[in-house]
Parts: sequence; structure tokens; C-alpha cells
Amino acid sequence: MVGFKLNLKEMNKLNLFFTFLAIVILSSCSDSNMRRYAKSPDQILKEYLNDEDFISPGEMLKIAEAPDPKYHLIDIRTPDLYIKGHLKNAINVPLHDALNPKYKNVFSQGNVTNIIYGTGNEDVVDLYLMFNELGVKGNKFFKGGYIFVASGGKSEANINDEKPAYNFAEKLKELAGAAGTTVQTPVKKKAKKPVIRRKKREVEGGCS
Amino acid sequence: MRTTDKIVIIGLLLGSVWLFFAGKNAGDKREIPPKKLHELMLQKHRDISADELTRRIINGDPMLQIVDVRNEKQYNSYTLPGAINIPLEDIMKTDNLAYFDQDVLNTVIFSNGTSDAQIAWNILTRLGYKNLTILRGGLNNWFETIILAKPPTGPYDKESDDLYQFRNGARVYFGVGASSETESAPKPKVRIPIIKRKKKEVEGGCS
Repeated sequence: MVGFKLNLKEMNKLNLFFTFLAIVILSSCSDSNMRRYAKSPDQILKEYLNDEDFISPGEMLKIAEAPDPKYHLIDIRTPDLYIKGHLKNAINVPLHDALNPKYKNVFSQGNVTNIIYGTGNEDVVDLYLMFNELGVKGNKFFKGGYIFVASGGKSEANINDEKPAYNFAEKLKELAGAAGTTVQTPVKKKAKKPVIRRKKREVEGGCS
Repeated sequence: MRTTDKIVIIGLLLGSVWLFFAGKNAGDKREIPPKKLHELMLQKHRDISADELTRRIINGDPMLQIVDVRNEKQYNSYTLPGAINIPLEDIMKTDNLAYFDQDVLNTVIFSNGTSDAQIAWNILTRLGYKNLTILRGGLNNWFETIILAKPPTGPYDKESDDLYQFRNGARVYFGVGASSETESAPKPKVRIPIIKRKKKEVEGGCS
């Protein structure tokens, strides 16, 4: 029946090999969504530039004012800040802990869309990147921060932090004018021309 | 060669081929795993303050490379001294990636705020580039901190006063001029008389 005979020593060797192979395969498959990127850097960049997954201040205020069961508010600030005040029905998942498997079910809600807010732009953009890279779906992010929503949109918030706060060049000119100096625009340093020194001519003439 | 040895060798070969392709799927060879990337994202020393960056610019730090990821129009209008322009949408271009492909310089990435710089930092760090930091609060915050520096309020505090003096000095460096409180009246220019020397006649020759 069997074309070759295996002795006990060879059988052990084979068992050992296949056990090793099984461990390698199992370890690489387990938790694979945390080990691999769901999207390429190009894709991440493209989606960010298209402003996908971010919600406007108007939408956010509407959701906060009239809670809708199809939305699930998630506050990613620290527990201290969350305790001091948070939006109605919001649950707290601190940014540092957001990828902890214990919160897996919080973010995977099926038909429910998670509305994520934090202190401002930076923490929300970080979580946006993390989730996008791991392929966690069903989330919308609000950049403006809790204070803006809690005040009903009255407080000053930097919704779009990439908007220039000033016309920098104009403001500098204005300030320079007030101080009586001229504006130094950052220009590249010009390469210094090498100084060519002429040799002194020897005194001509005289008797040979 | 015994049969078992053959099986083991074939198995190992198949295993290595499988691992090679599994690695390929995960992305570029240099790419760091998501877990590592996310740990780095949450580290505090990912960013640099406006004061620290200013200090390094003024000191002419040769290890400093500043990258402005705003668009070309904004860059041409105003930028930080010595900054190079790589707009965020062009960051993945091979020519631009070459600026980050070194382990010597400390690269500070900035935009008007923080979001665009965060995206650039994230993509570049993921691709395995090192020594990258983000300007905290971006150019908006830098301008307010340095160019529009305000004197400290409240009781005298040496540390705050020193910081204000530094910022006030930095304003001059960046072309604003000292604040009116410290500025002295312009001194009249003194003309130095130019003494022209007479050319000496050529000496020698036969008498």
C-alpha cells in the first residue's frame, strides 16, 4: 500500500515540522486586520484630500441637538474631560485606547454610523488615519471639537485648521511699517562671488 | 536523500514562497507595521514647538530640513526661511520622496494648521522614513507665537520674560523689527570723509 516505510524517528521529524508550519500559519492569520494595512498610502491621501468621512459643523450640531438612533456618538477625549462634560448619549473611548480589542464592538455597529469627536482637529485626524489604515468602516469624524458643539456652535472653533489665520506677507509688511523697518522676505542666500585679487605689477623701467 | 528529508525540504520551500507573497501583500518592504505606526503617532515627541523651531532656524542648525506642505501659491507668498515646498498632494512623487530618504537631517513638516502635516507625517513614517517631526499648531500658531509675540502678563517671572525677550529678538530676525517699547531713536548717519591717495609716479628709468 505505502510506497515507502517511515520509521519512528522519521515520523517524529515530520510531526515536528508540520506542527511548526501550523504555528507559523496560525500566528500570521490571527489578528490579521491589525497587522496589515487595508489601504495604500496613495488611497489614504486621495480620500483625505477629497474630504471623505468628515462631517460639517452644521451636520454635527444637528446630530447633537436631536439624537438619532442611526448615529452613535463617540468622545475620544481623556476620561477626565469626558466626566467634566460630554454630548448627550456619547460614550468615551480615549484615543490612546481606541485600538484596544475591547472596543471592537463599539466601533463595529452595523447599520449605525459612529460620529467621532475630540478636543479639536489633531486627535480626530489621528483616529481617522488609524481607522482608515486598518479598514474600520462606518465612522464619520468631526474636526471642530467638543467645546464648539457644546456651545451650540457659538464658541470660536477652528473647524478648518488649514485655513491661514492671516495673510502672512501682508501682516508682516504692516508690522514692519509700524516698526519703521522693511520686511525681509525669506530668500535664498546668493552665492558669494570669489574675489579675484590682482597681482601688483612690478615697477617697470630702469637700466638693464 | 531520504524521503522524509525530501518532504521537509519541499515543505520549507513552499513555506518560504508563501511567506514571501504574504509579505508582498502587506505592502512595501520598508513599510512599518500598523501597530508600530500607531504607537509612534501617539508619542509626544512627534511634534516640535514654535520656539524650538525658531531657535534652530536662528542658530542655522545644519541638521534641520524644513518642508512646507502647503500649496505653491501659499508658499510663494510667505514661508519659513530655508523651507522647501512639497505640496501634500505631491508628497508621494518619487522626486519628492528623495528629500526624506536620508537618516541624517531632522525634517520638520508644516502646514497652516496641523492636519495636512499629520497626513504627510503619517504617510512618510509608514513608508519607513525617519527623523520626521510636525510643527505644533502649524504656521498659524508659529506666527502668533513669534511674530505677534505678546509681553507676559501678571507678576514678573524670569522664565516668561526671557521667553518674551527671545521672541522679540526673533521678530527682528524674521524682519519685523523690535517692538516699539524697546526700539531706540534712529541715529543720524555720520559721513566719513574719503581720503584719496595720490598715485605715485613710476620710479626708475635712466636719468
